[in-house]
Amino acid sequence: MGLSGIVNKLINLEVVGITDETLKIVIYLNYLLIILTLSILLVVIFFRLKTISAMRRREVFNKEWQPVLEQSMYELPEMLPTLKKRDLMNFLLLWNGMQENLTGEVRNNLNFVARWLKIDVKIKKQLLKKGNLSERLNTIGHMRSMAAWDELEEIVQQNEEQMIVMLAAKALARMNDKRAATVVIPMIAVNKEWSLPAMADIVKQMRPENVGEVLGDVIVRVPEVVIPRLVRFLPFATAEVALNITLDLLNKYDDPNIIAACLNLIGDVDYGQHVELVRSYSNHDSWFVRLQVVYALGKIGTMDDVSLLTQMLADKEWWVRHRAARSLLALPFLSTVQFKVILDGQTDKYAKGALQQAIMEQAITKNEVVV
Amino acid sequence: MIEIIIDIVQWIFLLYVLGINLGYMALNISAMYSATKYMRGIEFRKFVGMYSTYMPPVSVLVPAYNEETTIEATIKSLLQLNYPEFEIIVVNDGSKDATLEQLISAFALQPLNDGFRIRLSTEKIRTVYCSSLYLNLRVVDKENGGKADALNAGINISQYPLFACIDADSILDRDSLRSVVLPFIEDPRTVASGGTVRIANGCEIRDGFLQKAALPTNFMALIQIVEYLRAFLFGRLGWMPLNALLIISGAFGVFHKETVIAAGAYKIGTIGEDMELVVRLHRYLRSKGRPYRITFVPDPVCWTEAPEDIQTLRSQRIRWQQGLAESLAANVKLLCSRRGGAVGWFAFPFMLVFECFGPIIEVGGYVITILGFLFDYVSLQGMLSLMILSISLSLTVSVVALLLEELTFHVYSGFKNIAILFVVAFVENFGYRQMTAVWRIIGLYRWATNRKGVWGNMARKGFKESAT
Repeated sequence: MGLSGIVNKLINLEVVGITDETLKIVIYLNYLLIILTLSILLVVIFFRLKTISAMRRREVFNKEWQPVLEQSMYELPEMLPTLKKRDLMNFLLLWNGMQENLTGEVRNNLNFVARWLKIDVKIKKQLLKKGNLSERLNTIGHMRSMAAWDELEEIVQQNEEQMIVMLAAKALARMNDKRAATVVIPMIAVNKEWSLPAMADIVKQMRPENVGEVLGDVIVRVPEVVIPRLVRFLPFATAEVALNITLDLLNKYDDPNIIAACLNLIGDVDYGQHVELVRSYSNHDSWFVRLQVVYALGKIGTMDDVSLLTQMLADKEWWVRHRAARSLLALPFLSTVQFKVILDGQTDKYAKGALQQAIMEQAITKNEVVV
Repeated sequence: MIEIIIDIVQWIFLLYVLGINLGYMALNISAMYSATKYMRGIEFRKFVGMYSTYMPPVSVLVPAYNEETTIEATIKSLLQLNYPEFEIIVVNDGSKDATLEQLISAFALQPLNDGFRIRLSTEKIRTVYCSSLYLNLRVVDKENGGKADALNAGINISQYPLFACIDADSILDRDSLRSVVLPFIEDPRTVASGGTVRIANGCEIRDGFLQKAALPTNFMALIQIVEYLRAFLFGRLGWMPLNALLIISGAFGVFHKETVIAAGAYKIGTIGEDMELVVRLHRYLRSKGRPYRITFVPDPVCWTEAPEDIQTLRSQRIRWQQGLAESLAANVKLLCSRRGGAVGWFAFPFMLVFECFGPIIEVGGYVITILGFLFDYVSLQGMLSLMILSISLSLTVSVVALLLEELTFHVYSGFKNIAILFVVAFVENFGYRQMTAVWRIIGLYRWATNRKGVWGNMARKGFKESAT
């Protein structure tokens, strides 16, 4: 019997001589699964080959281009190697990697090289297409080329993928921070799911006066629930604008989340003018408001606040006690002797515990062994 | 009559094999979607991860029972985690060996007189220690009460809004906390997040961290690599888009503390306290109608030593099955409940039928078919067809897991490793799978006869540290 005979027998299930229909189905299913399994295995091997080949190509590319780009940072080259179409992504990865770690003149030189190779034109054509968009968006941002502003704005407003939106917003902020602020900041208020650290990174790229102007305008128009989220971006505005907005909010709202966010900000940007206002919240029902009170007093408090902070060492919430102890310890005008008096004077077990913990933490930070 | 019984059993077996594997296939497709989506967003995650200001502080809980040989190295590597603000709370659960003494001398521990609020009742806490060398290390010495009790004691002591539970013998990636905490930043509804656990046998370990992933030479450990790939890559990733993940490994998971406390924290006396908590979180949050997310990151963040001898593996699998049955039984109200959603209507029934009671059907099917063949009720062709179907389905599922691995992190480089894993995925069907199915039945029996949970005892070879 030849090979075709064996195949025929297998296909017709003659080998096992099955007549039962169910078993026939089971055996056909077996054939199908074996073919499927082997096909998937081939796909696995194909992906592995692709990965290895891409890695090798990148190595070869970097070997040729890294010295060229490094050289161009200091002296613009007279000639550049040809950039093959398939190496565009490798170029973007290498170029963006260098841009992330550089500032000033050398970045301009790298931009010059990118423009020489018409990278912005090449990318703009593909900007709204799917695929590996992140490197393209990064490149456009670093090049500060206004050519793709409209496309980027469209991405920020319409794209559903958070990563893409963030990268496009970052690119906008790099191109023109004032204009970007008017596009991006109102969207922070609308898109609650946007990642705060990523947004903070973008807003940080904008000049404080631009951030303050737009934030001040947006914050009065948004629903109450969104305000604490926006307050977290106020440190990126100028201190004066941030404080004015904060004071307005404290006048207007009773929501503990808004109060806590505002007190935290006062602690960070105030120079002591509003310490009385901070103290007035020390008996607030919400522990996270009291926590921000002790935090802010630790930063802007005076000698008069020592007794208030000492009282708050016995707060029913651990976080408040712990922060009050740390704030007391951080007060620059409180001497070791005075601090020891406070410690010895504590009759409350929790208050004493909180102070001891803070002392130990400070000692460890200063590399002193506490015995 | 006997023929009819055998026919029925064979049909049940056939439907079970088809059902479980079709279920796995559906999970594979879902996992493929999750994996590609995750990998697309990986640069974004790196981008977010660079900004530590918004990373919430985390309390890392390390329950320890008789870990004198490994505890110092484990804590030293945990102290090197790349995370902006975290504290480590080691809970010595009444160890009978010198675990506590090791900790006291290695980290210059001193008794701490700080008060803490007892929010969860636990066995008596003897002393809380604070390290004089590391600001963020505390050790709780308490009476023995089991792993769940130790974790609850750790929660009582913890200061931060998130806590991570970590096995004392786990090896973590330096960035593991960042990876697993990121879902909490991306989506504030997140209440729990788990990471992929991989097998450390055969890998190169240096200073408590993994330097190079490699396949082990021990066959038992090799088989478990394929099992872990299946369990973590499609088992977890597959359920994720439906928010129906029922397991976060006790080896490494991060939880929102207040939600866990509200749900009742770890259940004392359970064996599978990690799974029980996750199932209960689903039940609790669904009953309250609170939007939530229990998620998983496919990054290989935690490496653990797999048993290399049959006895240890046997007791591990018995314990796991007992834990699974316990977790499902304790939260059976979630099953097809009005507010159950995907977890109550799909994940829970799937777990119950295929993972919990599956071994009985599987082993029953094998036994009846073989007996039927021996007594001439089943033809050789019939028997072989069923067996081959079972093997090919299982092999297909394993190969898809290899594909997922290739699409995501391809940890094991080189074609040789793919070939080895494929051969192992094939060979495991001849004896290993049947053997583990029998152990799982023993686990079910132990659950049914109400055996209490104890700390798992594993014979460890320890990790081979490479020279620095």
